[in-house]
Amino acid sequence: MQDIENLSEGRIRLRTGTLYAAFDRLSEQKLIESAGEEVVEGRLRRYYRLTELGSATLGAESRRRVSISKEAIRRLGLAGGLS
Amino acid sequence: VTDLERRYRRWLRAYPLVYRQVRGEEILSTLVEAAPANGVAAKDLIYIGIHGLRVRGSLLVHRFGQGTLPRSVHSATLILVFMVVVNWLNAAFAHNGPKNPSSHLANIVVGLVFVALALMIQAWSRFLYAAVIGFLMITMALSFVNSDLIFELNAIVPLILLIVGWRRYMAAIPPAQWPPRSPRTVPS
Repeated sequence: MQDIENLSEGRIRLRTGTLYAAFDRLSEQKLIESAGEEVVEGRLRRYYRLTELGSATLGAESRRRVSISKEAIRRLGLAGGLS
Repeated sequence: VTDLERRYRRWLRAYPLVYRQVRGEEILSTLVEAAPANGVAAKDLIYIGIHGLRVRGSLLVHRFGQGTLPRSVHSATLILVFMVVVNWLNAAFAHNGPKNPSSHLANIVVGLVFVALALMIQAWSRFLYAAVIGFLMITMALSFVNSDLIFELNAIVPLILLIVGWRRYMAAIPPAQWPPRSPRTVPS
């Protein structure tokens, strides 16, 4: 959650309830899976990783967004667009 | 167990037991680790409450239409649906006159109540089924006291049918589980 906040430069602050809602949805769609668990300082910590389908879906979505951004930059005529 | 943990644990009860058994401890760990230095984050609690209710709703939705209802329970549902239709037709076409202007609204509300009762039976939930029986019993008891009640003896037939079907309905309910077994397919 801290990573997400840092990556988005503080614009996105994920709450625990929202995080697990996303986990439920992504697990149901088989985009993520459990990658083991461990007990740290008496607390259960479970790890998740992308499945193959998840990686493919994320890759496709990222490419789509890059493509949209490129098109937006081209239409706006901004200099220093994405290459 | 810290006070912080105890407070979060209380809020985790927003989730159904089957969900807590799978995710409860890791959610608790995440909440405690992400907690601000000065105690519980109120926003976290709100989001937990909302998510808990959504999970409960989702479990309930997945149980709809899971199998074939016992015949008597099926008949009780049909009677309730019939009562919905009668009430709404009455609301649409009956002319109650200026002395009784609120009765159309009452018919609409009663129709909605019957819709809710029929859905509660279809939800395959022990609690909701018992709630329907309880509601109809109270209605029956009140109808003896106040004969002006709209429900009156209409409730007795579905009530008897539901009591007759109690055992088979309860026996047919599959145990709750998380994640719910979903007939929906995964998007590709």
